[in-house]
Amino acid sequence: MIEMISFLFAIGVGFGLSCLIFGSMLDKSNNIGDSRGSANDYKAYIHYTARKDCMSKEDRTNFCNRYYERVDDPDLEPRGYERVRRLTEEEVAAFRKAAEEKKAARLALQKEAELARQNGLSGTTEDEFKLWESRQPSNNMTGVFKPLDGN
Amino acid sequence: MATLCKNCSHALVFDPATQKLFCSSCGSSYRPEDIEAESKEYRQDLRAESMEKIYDSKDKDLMDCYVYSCSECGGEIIINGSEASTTCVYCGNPNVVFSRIAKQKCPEFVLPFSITKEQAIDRVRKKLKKGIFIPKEIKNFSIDCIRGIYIPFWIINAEYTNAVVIQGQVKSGKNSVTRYFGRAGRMRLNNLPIDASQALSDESSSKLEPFDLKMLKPFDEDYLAGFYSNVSDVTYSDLKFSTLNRAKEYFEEEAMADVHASRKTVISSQPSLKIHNNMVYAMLPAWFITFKYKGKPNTILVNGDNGKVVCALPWNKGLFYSLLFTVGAVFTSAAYIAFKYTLPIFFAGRSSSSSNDSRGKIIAVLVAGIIALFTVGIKKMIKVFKNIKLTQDKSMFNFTKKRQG
Repeated sequence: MIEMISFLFAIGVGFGLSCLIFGSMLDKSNNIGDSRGSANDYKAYIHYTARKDCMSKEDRTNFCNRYYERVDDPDLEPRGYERVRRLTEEEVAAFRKAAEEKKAARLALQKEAELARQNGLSGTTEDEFKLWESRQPSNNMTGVFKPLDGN
Repeated sequence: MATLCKNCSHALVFDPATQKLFCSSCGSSYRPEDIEAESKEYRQDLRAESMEKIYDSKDKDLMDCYVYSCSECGGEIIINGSEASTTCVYCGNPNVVFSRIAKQKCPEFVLPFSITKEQAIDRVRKKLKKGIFIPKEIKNFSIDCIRGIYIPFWIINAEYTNAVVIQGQVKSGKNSVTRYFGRAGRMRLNNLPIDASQALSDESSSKLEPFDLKMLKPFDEDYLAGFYSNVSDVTYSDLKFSTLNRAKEYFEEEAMADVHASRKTVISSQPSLKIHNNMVYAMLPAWFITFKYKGKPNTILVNGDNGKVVCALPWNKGLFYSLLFTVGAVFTSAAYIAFKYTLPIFFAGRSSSSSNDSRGKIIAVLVAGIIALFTVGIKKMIKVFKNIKLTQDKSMFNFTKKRQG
């Protein structure tokens, strides 16, 4: 029994080690120049926006969607089937004009949304405040539930 | 058309050793920037004509073939749809297809060859000499053909974001637990060269990196004289796909390094990539050396800028397997003797339950270690075999071989 177990263990160690050594030797001998530019060469370092360890099932299902940040803009990119080439000066000018127009339209929309948001969040108006004061009982409790004003 | 010598009108060839255009007939040499521009401009009108059109044929093999006339002898030069410079099969003179590098089609930069043909061959032979498992026939290989080719590249700046979930094991042995880690972030890629030739696989061209991009020179077609070259023929989706793959690889590598666990794998990710429109079109140099071994084509690549040799060669199977099994048998015998005398110590004798527990743990660790060692060894071998197969690519052989000259 001991001999059998010793033999099995020995085969594992012997051939495992041999495969590891000769695999590395073959790699060094016959697979020449098997490397590419590293992340360092292209200054590709991550700026982390979220880090989570020991995630629950719910976390790991939602993590990618929650922290997904879209940077590409299909409207501004060339179509996939188009050959990549240098643009002529006219094309560059037209492209810049279109991009600027698109950016301006987007900014206008953002501004509109911001205004709507500001209006929605604006504080209590003078009339609302007076109405509230008039509805208060006469037991001088006005300071307790006073609504927040605009400031 | 070729740039001609001012003294004897013979075609000039770019010499990587002196970085000058050299006339093999009268020995004159010129710096590419000194060659007058007017002599180049009129040649842009000369175009390569489609073979289908010239011969009025519907032959599928001729669909991507074009005919160009040699500037020296007027002979027909047959080129494919993306070749920008070649050599005349009749007179051996260099020819640049000007219509393909005119105006917006022309690259902005070129990295001239600094390694000569002889230096490239010398570096390859030196590398091959060191290989223990390289067959003698390959060590003393006779070159089937050697071509200096300028490969088109897009040098890209990009913004990349990703959110990944990594699965990994923490603690070890019986206490090992699977945990999940989330990493999200953004990354910038600066000056990443992406191969712009459909005929050459990204796998092969990326191995030629790194290129010293500080040495790029404004494009001048005179640098192409005496070499072959291709123009960009990739689509935007090809370019985006290649960039995305590289960025994903770098992101996952760094994110995994940030996680403290073993046996890590990315189980889900959601990437996004934006390629900035300030990308640069450049031609980068490489020597392609082809030879046949046992009837099968093999290609060795040499970076024409720094001399990096890239190849995966067939190995001497007889020598490899005999050494593997001999050394394996020696290790097995030594390990057998060691185990035969040490294992009885663990199994023999009556003792308390606590010492039995510790013996059990030692045996469990030993078995796990042996299985891990065996698995790692086998995995290493499989990985090496796969790598060697990948780089013995037939398409790469055709990329070099199909050129006229």
